[in-house]
Amino acid sequence: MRILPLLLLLVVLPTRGASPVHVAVATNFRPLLERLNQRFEAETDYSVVLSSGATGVLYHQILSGAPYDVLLAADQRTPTALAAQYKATSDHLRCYARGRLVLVGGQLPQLADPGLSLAIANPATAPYGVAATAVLEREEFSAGAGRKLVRGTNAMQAYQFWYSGGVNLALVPLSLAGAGAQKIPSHWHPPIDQYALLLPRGRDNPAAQGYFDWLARAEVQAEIVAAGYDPCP
Amino acid sequence: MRGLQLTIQCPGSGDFSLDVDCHLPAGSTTAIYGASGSGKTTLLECVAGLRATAPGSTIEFGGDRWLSGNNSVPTWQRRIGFVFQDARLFPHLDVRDNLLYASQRAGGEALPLATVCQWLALQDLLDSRCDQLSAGQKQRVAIGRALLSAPKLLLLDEPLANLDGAARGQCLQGLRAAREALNLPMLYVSHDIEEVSQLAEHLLVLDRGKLKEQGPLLELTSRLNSSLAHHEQAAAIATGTIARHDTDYGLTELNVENQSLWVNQLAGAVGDSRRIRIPARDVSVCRQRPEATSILNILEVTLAEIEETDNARVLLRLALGRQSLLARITRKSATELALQTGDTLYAQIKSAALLSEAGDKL
Amino acid sequence: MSEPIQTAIWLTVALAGITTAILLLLGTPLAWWLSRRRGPAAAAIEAIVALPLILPPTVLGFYLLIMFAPGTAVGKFWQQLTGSQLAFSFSALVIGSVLYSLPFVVQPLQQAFSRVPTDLLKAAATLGASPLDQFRSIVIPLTRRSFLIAASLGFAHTVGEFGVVLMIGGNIPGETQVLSIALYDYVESLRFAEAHQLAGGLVAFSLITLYLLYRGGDSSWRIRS
Repeated sequence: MRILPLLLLLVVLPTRGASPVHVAVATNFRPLLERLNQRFEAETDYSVVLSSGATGVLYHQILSGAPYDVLLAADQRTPTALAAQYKATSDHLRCYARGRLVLVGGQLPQLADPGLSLAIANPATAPYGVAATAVLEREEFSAGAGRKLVRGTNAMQAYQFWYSGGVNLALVPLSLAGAGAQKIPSHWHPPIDQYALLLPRGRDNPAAQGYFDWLARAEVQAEIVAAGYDPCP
Repeated sequence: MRGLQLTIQCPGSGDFSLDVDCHLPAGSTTAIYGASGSGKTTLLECVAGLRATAPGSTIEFGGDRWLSGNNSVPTWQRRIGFVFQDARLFPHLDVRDNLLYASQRAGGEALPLATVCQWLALQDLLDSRCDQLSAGQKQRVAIGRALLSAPKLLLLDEPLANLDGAARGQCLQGLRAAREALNLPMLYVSHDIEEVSQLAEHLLVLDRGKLKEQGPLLELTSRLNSSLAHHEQAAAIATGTIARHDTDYGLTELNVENQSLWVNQLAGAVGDSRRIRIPARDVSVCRQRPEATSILNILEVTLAEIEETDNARVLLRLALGRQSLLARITRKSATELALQTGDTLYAQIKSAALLSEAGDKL
Repeated sequence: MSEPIQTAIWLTVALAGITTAILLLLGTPLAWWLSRRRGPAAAAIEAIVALPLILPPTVLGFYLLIMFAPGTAVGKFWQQLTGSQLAFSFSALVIGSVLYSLPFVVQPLQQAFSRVPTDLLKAAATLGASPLDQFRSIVIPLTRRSFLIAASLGFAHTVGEFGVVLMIGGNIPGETQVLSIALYDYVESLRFAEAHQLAGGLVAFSLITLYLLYRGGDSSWRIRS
């Protein structure tokens, strides 16, 4: 029984001043966000707790009551739908990056080769998967339709499938792949405008409000662009 | 047939080690006799191939090398039958299928089922499940099963140890019938000297893993210096032929070395040969032929040997023609009678106590 | 029932069926060997067999993912043998399932085999039965029920497999999108109607299997003698 107060103490102690900001982020943006969060924590007195997954998965979790303050999605549709649910204003919903799709493991013409296996994110749940599907439906790649097409549960797993050598090619976010990957022309797929939403829980949390605003700052946006994203329109 | 040649070393638990080197004559029934823990079952299992022996052991049967050097013929290829002390019938098969299990693996040489059933009175049991049988019935089935596998050598490990009197009799009868019909050599393990006397022609005596004595049964049982003679149940085995049956009095007269021996009525025809076991403690001696005594059997014998067995008693070997009897009497009596070898004496044998019926034909 | 659901069900049944068949074939001699042996070698193998009981399925999935990649020895060998790649194929799932369900087939068999008294086998040997003959004529009839249990457990366990398939399957409809993955997909994309169909069917199947298993009575075999 003496354990209980000790456990409570452990739970309470780590908070630095105010309660932490709980952020849900689409997988493709996670590595970058981890770096940005370190900056945030250094500049302010707040701490950030990060969860990631495919956008569709996060959407579902939020609807089921997951305790997030801020959602950084990989598309516009999902946060917009959520915003309508929670009667959010435009103050709480904004674009934070525009995603780029890249091909890793080969050159663009190889997308027409049915003998090469390809990994994409699951289009049912991940916007990058939707984008990849649009690219594959193009006329010049129709010859490759018989290929082995592998779907990862999120953009990260699609990249991992290629990274571990399981597939020859992968269509993944630029932010995961880095330099050396083949950029896909933006007009080949619906724009991947990534929107952020301040959730109801976050509206009561000054740390979360601060975080949400901090993301829009010029120097933060510059870092996002430097990492391989396009600026928001 | 060249018989069974054994050179076996087999380490057991603790300090025990079986160490035997012997040759057993062809075509005979050999009993392996000894106290508990003397290694009898170990020896049998080694012969069967159910137990691993130490390197250097050899087993040869009738010209077939079963064990030599690094080669060991596996159990299932040695044409043996084994009757275990606990029957070991297969629980998922009924009696008939247990028996047929053996027939099917006899390589085409199996005996007819009906014949074996007759020897062992199994006809009524064929459709029974094994868990419905008594111990005696199970053992009979086990013997039948072993016989049906057409063995060249039958091994029996204290097969009658768990059975009562009636069941033992039935099993022994069945074994005798089979042996007679098949001329099958047998290796029979027992710690019961009476049982051994009824079947064996040849005897191996084991003591703590070592071979103490071996030889023909009749000879060993009448030798004073054998361990058998010093046993509490020491007995001589006499053979005689049936002279006549006295149905009035329920007795049979046997002709033993031209003298008469009266026993409880035996089965068998006049002229049939019979073995009779005569315990030493039931034999007493006199200098003169006793008159008007209730004891029926008085035989004229010559005292061949005297040996002191312990402080109070002596053991006498009495020559009866070419055969011998044993008598155990007190040392005091021996001294008072001034017994000397070569003396003509009269042996009295209590016939009522006589004779677990051996009934073995020679 | 829509076609994707039918395909997923059929794929799952095929995977579970093939896996169970392979496990019975390979697992029976293994279980027999383990039941008759003592010593360090047997203990080591027993531990390896039991691993999938303890390790999270994702651990197995992780190592298999690495092992099946076309660039590795195993992947290359497979490519040469069959002409297609091993990673993200149905065959990869079969291999994964065999490893994942191994203890569920081997352990019941091993326990049943160890209860067969060696005495009976020795008796059979004296009657002329070779070791293979002893197995067929004595061991199998006495352990029939355990084969049923082992097969049922192996089958049902493979049907429920998720973690391993998630890591090495690649979610390919008609090839690696088994029931559990299809269900996961439906839930995550909020297609609850289809999710209900699949999940409900899976629960019903599991209940019926378990009921039949338990109804079959006491699974221990008693010696009758």
